[in-house]
Amino acid sequence: MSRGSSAGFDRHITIFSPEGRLYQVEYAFKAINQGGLTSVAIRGKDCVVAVTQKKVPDKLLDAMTVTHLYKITENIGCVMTGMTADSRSQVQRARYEAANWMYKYGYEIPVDMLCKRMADISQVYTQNAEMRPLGCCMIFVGLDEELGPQLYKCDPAGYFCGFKATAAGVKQTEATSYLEKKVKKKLDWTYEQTIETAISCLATVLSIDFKPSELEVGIITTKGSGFKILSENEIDVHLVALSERE
Amino acid sequence: MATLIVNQPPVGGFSFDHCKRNAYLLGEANKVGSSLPTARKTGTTICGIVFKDGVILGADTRATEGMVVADKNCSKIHHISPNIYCCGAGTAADTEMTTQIISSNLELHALSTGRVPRVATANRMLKQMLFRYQGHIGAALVLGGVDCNGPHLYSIYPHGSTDKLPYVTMGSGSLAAMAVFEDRYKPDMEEEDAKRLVRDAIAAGIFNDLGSGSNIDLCVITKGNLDYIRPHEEANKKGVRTGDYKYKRGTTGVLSKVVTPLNLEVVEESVLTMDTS
Repeated sequence: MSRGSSAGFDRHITIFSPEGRLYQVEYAFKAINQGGLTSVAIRGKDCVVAVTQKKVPDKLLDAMTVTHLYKITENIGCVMTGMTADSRSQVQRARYEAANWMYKYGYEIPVDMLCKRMADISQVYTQNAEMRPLGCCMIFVGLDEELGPQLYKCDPAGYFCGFKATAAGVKQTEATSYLEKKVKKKLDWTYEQTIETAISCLATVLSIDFKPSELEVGIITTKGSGFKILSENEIDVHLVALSERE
Repeated sequence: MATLIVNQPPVGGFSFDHCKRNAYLLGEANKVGSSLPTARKTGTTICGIVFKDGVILGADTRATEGMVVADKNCSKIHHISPNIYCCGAGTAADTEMTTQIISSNLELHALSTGRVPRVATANRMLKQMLFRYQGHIGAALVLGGVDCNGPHLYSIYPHGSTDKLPYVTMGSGSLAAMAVFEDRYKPDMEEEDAKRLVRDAIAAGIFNDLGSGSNIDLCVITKGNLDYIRPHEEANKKGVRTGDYKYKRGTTGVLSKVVTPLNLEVVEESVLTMDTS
């Protein structure tokens, strides 16, 4: 049985290779690591926390304008890992989808439906030859009216899933194994425990002693008023509590 | 590519191509002295009420075609989803088809989200469709149901405006029914009291409005339970004749009886086939 031979285009556009792989989609996953950042998100008993690095490479850059945490609706936020321009485009599309859902159906879009929608759009890019997949990974954190705190991730292949804890970016595998050990021990974290576990995960995996200006933390709790991005002072409080514990 | 909603005609709005022809035909019919058949309207009294545990929808069952009753027992409470029902007043075909389209789209939505559909979603879908047709779809609806946020009741007008209220009435008998509601509605009523109130409101419409009549249908929706009572009350049962114009055997006395058999012969037999082409 002779193997089918490709015309050599399977690496250039999203068509199947003879082994049944989509090279463009695999390259998209590699592109996520180009940014050099890692993000971690954990779901607690009554809250969800997303933490990501904040790297400001140039002294002339205005640090206030550099962010990877975005608010999609009042009760849904996301942390983007990967190519910044692709991330912004996806966030804009997610905001449109959420607003359109509210208009058409009269209630706020649930986190899993938004993630499913973004994943379906990403899947189209893996079939259309005219458009490349986007090189970014979206992690959604949100509060569902009926089901409580939710954590979802969707990737360039169009795959999405709900998580108890997840990571994305350069040190994804190390962060995931660290989280697995923690989740095995305990599943219903309080708000403080969730944030501290997320920050310590990043700190351990990247071997960096974080300053408040090097971290971005986004949270949503059942008590609070929607998705919130913590200020440097609030992050400092948690860092201090973390160092005291150790 | 699969779409999330059932196929609707892709062209927006109505086609007004036949308006000139219809006007001409109407003129021709009037010249002869007759008139074109009218669309069947439901006349109608429909109403809804929010009580302690949920919503109750009520409707009469008369469908009129001009001045004639077309259907003495038509069903005006339409199923949208297992927890949401909708009463329809106005043109019968419009209410029937509109509720069926939205019911179908809502089921697709519920399967996609994996959640029980919300009354607010049905309301949005109905009002956006009716507004798109600028009132040409003559459907005035009372939409009620119970979802994760509690019981909800909406009234939807043919042009697409909606009201979210604790009690609503629609149709030609709406004033009679609303008079009963305004007099006796209280928030958080018990189920039996609420059913009686709705029954009285529909009965007011049936007996005081010519466009409404026959029986009273009720639909009681509570969290996790549905009671579709059809008919709740047969307010206008057809009467039983009290007398008979036939004379019984023996009224006239028989004096004598003579029987004469007539023997007839067949003279000629011919078969004519019917033209069935």
